[in-house]
Amino acid sequence: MTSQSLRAQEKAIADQFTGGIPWLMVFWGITNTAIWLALWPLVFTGVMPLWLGFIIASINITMSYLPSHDAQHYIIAPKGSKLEWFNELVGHWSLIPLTLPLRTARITHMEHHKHANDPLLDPDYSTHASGPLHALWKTVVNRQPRATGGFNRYGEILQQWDSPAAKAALNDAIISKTLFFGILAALALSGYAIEAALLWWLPRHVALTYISFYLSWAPHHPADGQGRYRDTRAFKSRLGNIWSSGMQYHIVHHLYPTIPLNKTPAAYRALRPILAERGCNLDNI
Amino acid sequence: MSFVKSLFFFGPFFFGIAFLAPLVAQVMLKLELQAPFALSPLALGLIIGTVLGLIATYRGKWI
Repeated sequence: MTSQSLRAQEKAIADQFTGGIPWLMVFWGITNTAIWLALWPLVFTGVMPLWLGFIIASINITMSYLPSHDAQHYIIAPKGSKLEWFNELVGHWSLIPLTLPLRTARITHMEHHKHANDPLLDPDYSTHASGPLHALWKTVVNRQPRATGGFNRYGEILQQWDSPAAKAALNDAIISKTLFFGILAALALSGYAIEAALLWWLPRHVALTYISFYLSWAPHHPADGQGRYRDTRAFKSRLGNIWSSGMQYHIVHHLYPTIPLNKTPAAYRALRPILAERGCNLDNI
Repeated sequence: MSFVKSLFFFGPFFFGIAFLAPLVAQVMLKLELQAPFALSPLALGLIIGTVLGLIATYRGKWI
């Protein structure tokens, strides 16, 4: 079979999994942030113990990225459609606990898609590591104040681009970071430092560690290939697909970014023979 | 932009005095721990937060 006909066949299969509003992702995004916000009055009034709030907040913030990820790709509603506002609403709302603005996430993520695994052009390249322990260590390194990777790399790239979209994304990031630390300080100085630390600051670090590991490092490891069929892999996660946030099939997302997250396992199974023929790294899954 | 960069450069210091200091003080009160040298919990928190914040500002990293 020629490469062209293989591509046509691949696209025909992928098209079966696109379209429509992914209500699961919408529900997930809206309720996840709502639950996280509800933790504050529940803990402050003593209805919920702080230790339980910490566990739930860690889960909430860890889960906050993926609904926005669908919004970043306009999967919830296409750009220019009547429901674009709804797509943007879910995208902004779901990222509140993570304090990562949608426009910042979107512009850097699109660049990641264009240049995945390129050491100079992929904004997420700093998560790449030789193995799992190294990847976990990199997440810590990338969060240091003057780190060259992580969100600092996003800021550096946005300053270099000098486009209106990049400036807007950079402004959003500055406002978001200032608000985050401002709110933490205000809470701490008002006598709620422990609550702020355990409902937001520490859970956010837990979340960023998980997100960096499972959503960035694992699906691109060993990150030594570039191009459509080389920059992402399928892999068997020790935690399974759900607990690794569906990342076992991330290769489908890089090939067809408008397939909603919850449909990537089925899309992968349908596409697998073609991907195998293409020589993709499928890790026997 | 240079103002923002300066502000973020000293971010760890601000974080130390505005968040870590009250956090240390409130943890001590919660655990009923006594600060050494008859210091108040907030004074000890300010010392710890300021020192850690300044070190992190100077080194560009917390750990």
